Amino acid sequence: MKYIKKTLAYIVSIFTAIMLILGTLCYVGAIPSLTLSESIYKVVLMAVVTAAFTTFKDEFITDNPLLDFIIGVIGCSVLVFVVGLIGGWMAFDLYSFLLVFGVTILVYLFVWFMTVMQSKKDADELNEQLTSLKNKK
Amino acid sequence: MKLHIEESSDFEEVDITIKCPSVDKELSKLIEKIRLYGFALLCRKDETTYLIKPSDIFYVESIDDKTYVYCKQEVYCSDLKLYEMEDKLPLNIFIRVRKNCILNMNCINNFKSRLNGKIEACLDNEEKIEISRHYVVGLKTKFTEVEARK
Repeated sequence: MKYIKKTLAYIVSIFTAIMLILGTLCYVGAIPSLTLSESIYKVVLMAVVTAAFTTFKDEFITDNPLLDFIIGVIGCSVLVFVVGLIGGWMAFDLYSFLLVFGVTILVYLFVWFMTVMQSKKDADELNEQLTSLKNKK
Repeated sequence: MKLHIEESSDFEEVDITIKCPSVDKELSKLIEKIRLYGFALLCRKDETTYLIKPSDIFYVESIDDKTYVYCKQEVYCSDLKLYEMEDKLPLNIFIRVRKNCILNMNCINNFKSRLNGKIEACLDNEEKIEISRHYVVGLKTKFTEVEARK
């Protein structure tokens, strides 16, 4: 149950991040426009694969953030690329892999940014509660 | 409220009895404080056994199946497991912040967020304790509960 909840949370955040990034890339013309139904199911599948990998990876790497980042970015890129190849949505060339790699880094940066923002918000709330408690003493 | 104190060398130990129609908020605070009176944990350091008061403990950590009790400067060892320690220590002061760590809330100076997305508690003795994200909600709830009691 714990893993399912964690994977679902990852799917939602990764899906949102990939959609935002793909939307931006389409908007600036870096990648060709996709139809909505086509892009959604591709992105959902990629988000599911990436989220499952991220959950699995988190169980083994907890102490080393740098290793976690490197394995995460490379692992996710390879997985998404393989899914793209199997699905026939990507060509087997360096450009496609670099595109996926770039998007994965952006997704990681997005998730990292969100995590840091959340952690900052939590720390601020805890400091507020702590100050209020100390003032009452 | 009436307060009776009998002092005599005939008594072997302190015996406190509270007679009341019901236990209200103020009384439960007092009971918690009385419970802390005289309570101490048996800890070891360099083959010597010490009795450590909960208020002197900054945090308790379990490393490789051993439980360590950290005070302001000293570190002691305890035979109790972390969950046994958690049961014994007063709930209104101590809270679990990691799978292997229980922290004294009164020793926290401030909280800081780190670039890896984790939060750390800076203690009064300048030590820093990493708080697992999993326990952040529990910590907030505990603060709210303690604040409501005061």
